[in-house]
Amino acid sequence: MRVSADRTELECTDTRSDCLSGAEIVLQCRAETLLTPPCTGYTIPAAMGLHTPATFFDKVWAAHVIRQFDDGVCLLHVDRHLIHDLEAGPRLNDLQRAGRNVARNDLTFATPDHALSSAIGRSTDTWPTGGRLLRAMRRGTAREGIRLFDLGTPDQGILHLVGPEQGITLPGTLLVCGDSHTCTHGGLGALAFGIGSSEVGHVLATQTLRQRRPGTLRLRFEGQLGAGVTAKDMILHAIGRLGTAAGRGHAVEYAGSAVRALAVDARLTLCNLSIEMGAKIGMIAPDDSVYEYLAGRPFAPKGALFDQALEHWRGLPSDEGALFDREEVLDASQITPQMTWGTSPQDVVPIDGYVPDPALEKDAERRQSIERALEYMGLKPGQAIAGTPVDWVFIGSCANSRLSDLREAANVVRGRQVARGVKAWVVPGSEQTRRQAEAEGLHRDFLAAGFEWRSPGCSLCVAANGELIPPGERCVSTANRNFVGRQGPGARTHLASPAMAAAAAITGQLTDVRRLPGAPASVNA
Amino acid sequence: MKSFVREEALAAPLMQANIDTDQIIRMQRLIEFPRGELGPYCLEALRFDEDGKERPAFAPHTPRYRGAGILVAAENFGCGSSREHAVWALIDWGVRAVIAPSFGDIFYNNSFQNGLLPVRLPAEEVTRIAAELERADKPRIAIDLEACTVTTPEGRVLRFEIEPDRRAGLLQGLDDIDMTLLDRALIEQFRRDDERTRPWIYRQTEQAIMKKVLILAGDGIGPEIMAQTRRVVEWFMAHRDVRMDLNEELFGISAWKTHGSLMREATWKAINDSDAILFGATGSPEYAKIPPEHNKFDQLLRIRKELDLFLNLRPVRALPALASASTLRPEVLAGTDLMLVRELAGGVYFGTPRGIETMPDGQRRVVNTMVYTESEIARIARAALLLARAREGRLCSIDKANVLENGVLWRDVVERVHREEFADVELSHLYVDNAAMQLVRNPRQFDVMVTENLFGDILSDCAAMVAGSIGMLPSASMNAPDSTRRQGLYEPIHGSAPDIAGQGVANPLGSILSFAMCLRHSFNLPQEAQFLEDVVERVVSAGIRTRDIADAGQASVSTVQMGDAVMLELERSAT
Ligand code: SF4
Repeated sequence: MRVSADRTELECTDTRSDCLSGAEIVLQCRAETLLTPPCTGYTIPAAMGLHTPATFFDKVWAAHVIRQFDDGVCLLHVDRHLIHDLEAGPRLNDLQRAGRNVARNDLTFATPDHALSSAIGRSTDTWPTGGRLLRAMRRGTAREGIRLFDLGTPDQGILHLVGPEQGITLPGTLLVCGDSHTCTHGGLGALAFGIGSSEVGHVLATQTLRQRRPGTLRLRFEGQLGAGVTAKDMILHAIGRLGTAAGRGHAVEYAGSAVRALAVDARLTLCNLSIEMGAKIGMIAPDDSVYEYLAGRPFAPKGALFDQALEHWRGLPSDEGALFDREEVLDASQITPQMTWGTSPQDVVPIDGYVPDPALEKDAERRQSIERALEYMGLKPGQAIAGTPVDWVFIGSCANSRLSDLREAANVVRGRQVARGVKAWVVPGSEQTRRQAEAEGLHRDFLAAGFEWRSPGCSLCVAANGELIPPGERCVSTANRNFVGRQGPGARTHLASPAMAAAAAITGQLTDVRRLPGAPASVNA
Repeated sequence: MKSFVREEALAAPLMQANIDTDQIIRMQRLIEFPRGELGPYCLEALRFDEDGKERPAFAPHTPRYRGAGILVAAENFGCGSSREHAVWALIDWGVRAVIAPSFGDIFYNNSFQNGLLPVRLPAEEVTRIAAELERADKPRIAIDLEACTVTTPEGRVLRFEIEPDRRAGLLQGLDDIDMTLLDRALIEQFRRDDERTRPWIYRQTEQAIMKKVLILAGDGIGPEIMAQTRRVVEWFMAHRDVRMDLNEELFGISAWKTHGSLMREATWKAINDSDAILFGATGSPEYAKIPPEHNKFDQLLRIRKELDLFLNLRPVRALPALASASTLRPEVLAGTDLMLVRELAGGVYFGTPRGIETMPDGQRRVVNTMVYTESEIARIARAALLLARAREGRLCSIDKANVLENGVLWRDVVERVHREEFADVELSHLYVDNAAMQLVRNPRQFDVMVTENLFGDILSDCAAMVAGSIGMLPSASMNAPDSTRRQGLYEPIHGSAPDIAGQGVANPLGSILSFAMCLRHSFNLPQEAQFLEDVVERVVSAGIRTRDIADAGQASVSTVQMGDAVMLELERSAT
């Protein structure tokens, strides 16, 4: 196989040694995959020197390689670039200063989400720092002709909700954004990952990116989820089992019967926390539920073009027998509702479990880290996690603020009251989600129970918009990070699913949602 | 980005391990100061004590090392968070290179993006260099990136290792973006192939949406200037991936002479179907000869009305090269860059009752009516506020609220839209008489101005003098976007100039710049628009002038020669 500057001249020859060198150039293929027949006939991967059986990830990666450099780094084409308020203004200004323009404004999409007040009736300057960023974002996007889903328009929201909702995110696309939770879009079968500030500038100027190919990890969830157990519990459970470094340097493909059974919203949640497992990329092969989800969305292909895309998408899932660098299997039927107790997402236990006792930990470093976490979180070694009193509940973030999340929480809340002394917020992830939820009357359930029903954005997930959990107060959050100070200096964060967060709001303590009297048989229905 | 080839500079030791990016520049300073102004805060905590006094122990601040361009540091320099600002701060502080045994990964990468050279040498060498600096007469170090050597104060020559790509980039002053753009042809080839295999990535429908563009050259000098504009349009179609379906129809006197009708059915259909109309000019003494039943109304007004082109944009920018063509003093003009937004579909031009009547006593009386509905005012206000938001964020609304009720409602509605939807934009009001004065007194004060139809007509001519010549000024008129499209009509603001028609001396630049507006607003290609505007500016700056903008005594070029000059500059700029 020979790679030349002109892609149309790519050739693939039958000899194994040629294939080996070619494969190394293009994909650093593993030796095993070369035992299978060399590429023949039409597929994009074949044209790029990819050999069957290939993984889903490899197919998508290969279709985006413009060239590979000597050091193994690839120049990749970016199909979709999302920019948010923290990056848009500064990076577009850098670009202008450097005398450059945005290469493809039609493949770039912007919406403010991070530094935006979530107050009802908010405006540009409700949070002044965010106002400055938003102004710069408006100027920059207008100057470059980039589509902006602005504050106060019907499509604004957290980028990781807006992409899927608008049909901007498509299976097999390479999608990037200057935000680590970009892996969310893998739920629709996109190869999506977060990039750094200078990379944002690079993508704006060239619509390409230099990346080294990661390894592949398949994480299978086999079996059926129990009642009251959600995608959030699956991924928290996996992170607890495998650790926050498990996915480092890998693209994770989630597979198995429990994953196939998940609805699209839940798949987005599952992929969202890939980065908490150390993986920049998490993805799920697309299937009919994804195609149904996409049909008719504003930026999804229409008519005959949709059918053409569909044919391509159907060829994306990993081939039978494709080899992964690493494979893990978890039993979905054993997963119970999860609750984090510490300051890392891997500090997680089942809700009926116990906080670890550092005295029992032999590894000195680990012992100290548990001690530090318990001290920060104000928990006692070995205590039951359930029953811990809470001050705040936050239902929101790109992990869990979609319509299905709000429905799950509303099912728990309906007809009940938020416990005295607890402040509880629902922050829908996007205007579209908010409208849909309101059309179903979910906001009335929350408001009647004593929740605040707020405006879309990141809000208490990251506290970049002036909304903070006060020091020492305890919050159950449906977001994805429980780092020290994430929700404000000294704030104590417990991560859980929306139903579990709702249960905490109602009871005023960490609670197993399945034990609430009259709990629905299944909250993930 | 500045290249790095050889540097010989004062060097300072900073032998402290693990200096992280947070120590190099504090988070808070990033918010407070832009790039280029971070120098005073570089390594702040090490340099200054709590009271802001210099710490005597900080070596680079001692007289011996002050102003060092090279730092000699201990291991793991630039570790910690990924902030690129750390590199910026060092550069702003005057540092060109850092020598250390090891660097934070991200800091190391970022250095090459910004023209800072990180040199890795073994720890014991770094310690020795630091010692040499302490005892040298002149603590200077030379770094040669071509040879990959460091020459110590005592003259020892040490080789260092560096990634070949990185070295090449820095030697040429190319950052990652520049390096990638060297592969531009490859990227474009990839995209063309990819668009064939995966068209849905690039568009939503099976057929690529081809914008329909219609040329109506019209009367007087219209055909002459439009012939030059058409060359430019075709150049963009051939060379710049601007895809359109381009057609031309006769308009005005030429239509009358050819078709026996000022507006035949086919032309009207083409107008209705088009996404963008490039319009030349209208107006000719010959209209008087057309029988009144065939000349009932002004066809351009009819287009505006029927397409509901309510939004008229007239950008006014003072080109330094044309300062002498204006009657205003250069220092008054300099830096002017304003956008006049004129309401175009309502007001006294269309209001009824209107007409001249004879009263019972035999004298005649005239009535015109200035009519605006709230929604008509609101939509133009919204458009202007949106535009202001994307520019400097300032809108000045013009009315005559002290005399006309029309102005009272205008002001009321503009304020409401501003309050409810655009509170972030700075809004001010002027009476139209004062606005006319301010335009010639201090045009720089304006960012976006919005006003109703008649006032806009007058003020835009007034503003034209700021730009030097009316022959240079483009305009765009647009309707409200519906779900699929927004129609626009682009025309120079000058008229048909029957006095010079046919002489080949008219200035085509207003029309060519109108096409730039078309690229910006109808094609959403602001880069291409800017590219064309820059080309025009370079042509004018080079001294190539048609008669209307030539300095007294200066030779002038013909319409065609001006077109040639633009085409040549386009070719030259594109490579
Ligand atoms: S919701 Fe939280 S995790 Fe998601 S993009 Fe916003 S800040 Fe990041």
